[in-house]
Amino acid sequence: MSADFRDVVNVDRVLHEPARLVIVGLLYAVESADFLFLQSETGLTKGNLSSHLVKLEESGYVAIEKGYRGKVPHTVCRLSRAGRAALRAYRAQMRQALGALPK
Amino acid sequence: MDKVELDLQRALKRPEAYWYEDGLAEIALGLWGVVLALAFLVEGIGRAPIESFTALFPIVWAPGGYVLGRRAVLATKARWVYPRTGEVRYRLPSMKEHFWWLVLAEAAAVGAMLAALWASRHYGLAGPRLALANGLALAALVLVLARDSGWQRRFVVLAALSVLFGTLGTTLGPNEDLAAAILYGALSLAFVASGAMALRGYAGRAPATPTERNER
Repeated sequence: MSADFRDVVNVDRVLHEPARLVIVGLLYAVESADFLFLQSETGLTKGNLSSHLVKLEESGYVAIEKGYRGKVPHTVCRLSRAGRAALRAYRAQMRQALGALPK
Repeated sequence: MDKVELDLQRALKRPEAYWYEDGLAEIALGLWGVVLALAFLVEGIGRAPIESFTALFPIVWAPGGYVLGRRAVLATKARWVYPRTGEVRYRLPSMKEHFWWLVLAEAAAVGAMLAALWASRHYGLAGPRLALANGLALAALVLVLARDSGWQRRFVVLAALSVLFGTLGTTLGPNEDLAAAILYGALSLAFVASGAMALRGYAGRAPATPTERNER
């Protein structure tokens, strides 16, 4: 197996899931975004989005702050330094691995 | 892979476009521009409260308008937009980046003044003709906004209007200040109208809902 294809096999499985990739992409460009923004942009259900955020939090890619705005729960998500580095690495890895494909 | 890569590209650009989606930033910019146009108007008819009223633009009107406008937009978004489609906090530039942006902005301002002076001496580009030059420069800036907003059509239209109003200012303005007043006044009203239409569209797409709840 060539080195390029070994790169695909070793890809970051946490980020390789499309919904999580989009969540991390949305958070990459900003300081933070709240749950409602992520939900309206990804179109995921609350439960689905929550489970992806838990996975990203457990991987150390996303930091989640739970609080209240008035009496309403308010969840703010931000990408950690590790999450930023992981997305950059994932992008480079996929480009390198698939860039050599014949057209 | 193409789809995922495409979604990633879209996701990376989406938060920036989100800032412009509700039209509030355009309305604020337009209102500030109306004030600037009025300043040119009172100077153009010789009724300015102080001499070179509009010359204070780079040191008073521009930074003051930016600070006040940004605060007003953020406060309005917090009340109207964030409860509907969510809140985004943008990354602020570091002190070092701030410094270099300031240096760049000042260099651009000084460069523009020197270019105007040079053009007026060598090509007679002075008086009302400056309105057309300003219109072209503003069109370029509005096209930057268009790019940041994901090429929303209304910004491209505003860029075209900037050139049109610059031409009108040059044609109709009896002097430099009144030509500028025509350009800034008409373009600012166009910004307010465009922002108002965007806000109306946004409100229709995202009706008021109870703020986020049942999160996990």
